Amino acid sequence: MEFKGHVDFRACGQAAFRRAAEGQLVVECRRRPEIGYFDPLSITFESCSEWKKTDCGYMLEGMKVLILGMDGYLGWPLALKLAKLGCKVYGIDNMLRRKLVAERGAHSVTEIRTMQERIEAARQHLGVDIEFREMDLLDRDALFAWIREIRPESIVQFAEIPSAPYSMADVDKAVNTIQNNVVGTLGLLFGVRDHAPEASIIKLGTMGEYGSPLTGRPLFEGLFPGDAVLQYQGQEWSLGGELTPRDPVSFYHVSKVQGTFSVYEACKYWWLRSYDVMQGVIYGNWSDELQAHPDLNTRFDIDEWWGTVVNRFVAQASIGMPLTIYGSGNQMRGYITLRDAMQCITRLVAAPPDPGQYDVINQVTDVFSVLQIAQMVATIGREFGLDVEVQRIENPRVESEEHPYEVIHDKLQERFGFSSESGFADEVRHLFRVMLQPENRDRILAQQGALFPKTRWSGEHGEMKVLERWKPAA
Amino acid sequence: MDLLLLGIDGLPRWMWQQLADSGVMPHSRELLQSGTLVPMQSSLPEVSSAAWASIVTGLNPGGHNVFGFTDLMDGSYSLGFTSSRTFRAKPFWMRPASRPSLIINVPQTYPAQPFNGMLVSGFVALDLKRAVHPPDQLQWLESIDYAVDADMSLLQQGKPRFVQELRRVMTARCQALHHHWDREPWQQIMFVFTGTDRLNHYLWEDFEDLSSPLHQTFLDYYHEVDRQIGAILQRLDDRTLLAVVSDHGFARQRRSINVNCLLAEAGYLHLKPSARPSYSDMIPETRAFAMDPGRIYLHRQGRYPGGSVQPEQAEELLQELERYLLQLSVAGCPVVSQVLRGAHIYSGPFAHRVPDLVALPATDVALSGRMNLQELIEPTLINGRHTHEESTFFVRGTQHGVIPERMRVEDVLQVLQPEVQSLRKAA
Repeated sequence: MEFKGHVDFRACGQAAFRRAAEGQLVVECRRRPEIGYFDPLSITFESCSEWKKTDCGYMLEGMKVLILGMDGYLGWPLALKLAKLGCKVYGIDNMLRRKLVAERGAHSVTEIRTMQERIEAARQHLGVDIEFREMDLLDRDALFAWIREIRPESIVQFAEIPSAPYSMADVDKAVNTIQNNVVGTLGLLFGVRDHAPEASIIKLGTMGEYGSPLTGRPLFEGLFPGDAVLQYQGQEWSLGGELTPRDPVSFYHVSKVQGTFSVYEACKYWWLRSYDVMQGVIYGNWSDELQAHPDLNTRFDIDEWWGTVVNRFVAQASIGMPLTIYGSGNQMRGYITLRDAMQCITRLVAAPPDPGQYDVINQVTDVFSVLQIAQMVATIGREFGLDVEVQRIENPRVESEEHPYEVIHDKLQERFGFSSESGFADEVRHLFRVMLQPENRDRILAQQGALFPKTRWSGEHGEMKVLERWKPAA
Repeated sequence: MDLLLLGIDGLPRWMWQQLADSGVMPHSRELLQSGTLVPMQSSLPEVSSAAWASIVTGLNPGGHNVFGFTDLMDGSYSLGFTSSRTFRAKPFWMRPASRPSLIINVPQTYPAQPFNGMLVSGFVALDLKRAVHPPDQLQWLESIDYAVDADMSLLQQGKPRFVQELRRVMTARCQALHHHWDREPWQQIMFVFTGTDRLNHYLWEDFEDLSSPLHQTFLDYYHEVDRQIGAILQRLDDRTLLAVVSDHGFARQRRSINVNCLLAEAGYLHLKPSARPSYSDMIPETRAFAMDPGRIYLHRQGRYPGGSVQPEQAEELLQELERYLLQLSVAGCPVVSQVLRGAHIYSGPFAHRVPDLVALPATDVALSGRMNLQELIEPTLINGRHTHEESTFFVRGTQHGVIPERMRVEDVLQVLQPEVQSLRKAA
């Protein structure tokens, strides 16, 4: 999709509006005040020197983007992608994820470098400069001072503890999740209000915020009043009297829902601007920038707490461990590859919302059941000579195992020009090639014990029972 | 104090003399007897932004880069509004070694730039907060409800309410002048009355029509301006060089004609369909277009993204346009009185940005260059228009430079301050 026509100055964080005496609306470029005042409707993307065309649409030249949680699975590849596109990338991380994964007795399958080494590798292999400070999101004095110093034009909030089972393991971990995610995001909003109110906030939520409504109500993409009745494919749906109906499925998801409401309110009270991204389950470890050198690897977790299902299935298949399905395996979820997710987030950074605009983006490309995923991974595993086994185990979670699931995910394609660049099969093949490398296989075997679930939502202890085991037909 | 330069926006030389002689402006009458009053030619085009820029720099628009209130950004169709940022020559108070100056309400000085003195920008200023240097003087101005410009929307409540607003703004502005005058021993002061231009635009018909119920309102406003002039004169001793200038003359306006409609009708201008037409809607078939008020630009290749006029085609096209513009008539009346070549009338570092032609309006006509081509004759409440001839130049006493036979706005500094002139050359 081309962003043709007039620069939408409400969306361009660089514009300060003034109203001249006779009611003529004029804009002033914050980046280049020396060029004076303009008629906002006379400036096109093509003619504005501050916008340049990229593979992800028109983007502000040298856009200043602050990535919170830059050391993470998503934060690092995003930093590389944006820097490569010409953004000035800043990042913080408290390195908590590395610590928590180690505490679980697990580690990234692909070896990852320290942040200093990563930044040096980015400079050497991609020719980009990324500025990083080790900082806790909860250290508001330091965070606000840096926001004030940078005046970022976009802030990507990835600095959250991203694990449902971790949040359900015990009280300390639940509190830690809520404290970091809820309080961290809330504090951030005040910092943006006071020090960079024109910055757009890309807040990472999750499809898990929606739950899986048993009525079959589609997961509408947006924000609706509680009494709205929405139509989809000829059918009317009541939202049940709730604003942006949410039904979180763990305390981690509760923290994400709270984040959603905090961001929504901040946009309303203070005219901040945000896209709240309901991201599907993410998988893969490939992007153009990551491929430039192994020192640029992003982390790749596969254990019960920190891994996601597709990544874990490929790792299990690679060491001959049965793929573990919780319950019936008929749970439906939305999915997206790392590469596509990075494209989506980049497009959202490039085309910021209007001041005061809070918008929800459903960031998924496919919907699968867990059983379907196991079947597909097993099938692709055979291409690599693997005889993959699948087992159903007692479900440690409290969730619906049989439910309709209809995700509406039109905005990224229709409004932001997103087009998927990687499909399930290719991504899984790539993962197998990586996982089956001897050193990586060894690193999976070394944490084999962490792949089988132990955390029950009920709080009870004890091994999950295996209900069924089989080899999927070819 | 060395210099007091008073500006009275849109005051025609003949009208000032007339109102002085008739007793409406008694202080002016006395003042005019103490020096020399001559008609002055405004800038080309005859707009306030360009004319004031010429008055305070001694340069024509080719030297200061202010050709109107709007301009297209180089190499694009982006419509910019001129401001102190695009005004590229130094006004006399910003030149090296300039002595402390108090500058109030001079157009084209927004946003306020730092210099040796105090400045409150004149129109067009968008926000008082950025119209004041040094900024610590803002609070006092806000406390007296100082306004950079009158609220033009009050016209909708009728002319009397509008004139009341003009008076309110003038009172606060004069209060600011005296307050700041008292604060420091300024060496130069420049102060501009703006309400006169606004009054002339909207009540010119009442001025001309002696039976209009608002005729006296018009005169009363000038009487008040004169009272303020008297208050200023009272503070001056004989050692201060005093001059009074206006930026353009004024005359009756019966119709405002959009030159772009005429250019489109004759096939010079082509726009693609658009809900809100702008310069970026011009297609390459366009050979010429106009900007307010009568600036005509060839759609030259290399100068504009979609420009198509080749250098070798320009001369023929210019001649064709000159003929076309001069023979135009609307409702049986001529539209244009004179067409001048930009290359002949402008000089300086911005000569490459000049309009190719400048059309001056015929009697009763005002020219515009809007891109909305819906109406050739634009509906407007305005009934007075600027004139290129008969702006005002007055200087008290005899201690000044030679006044040229055809005095122009860019000659003001030269006449007033031979020493300023030498500074200008140094700059």
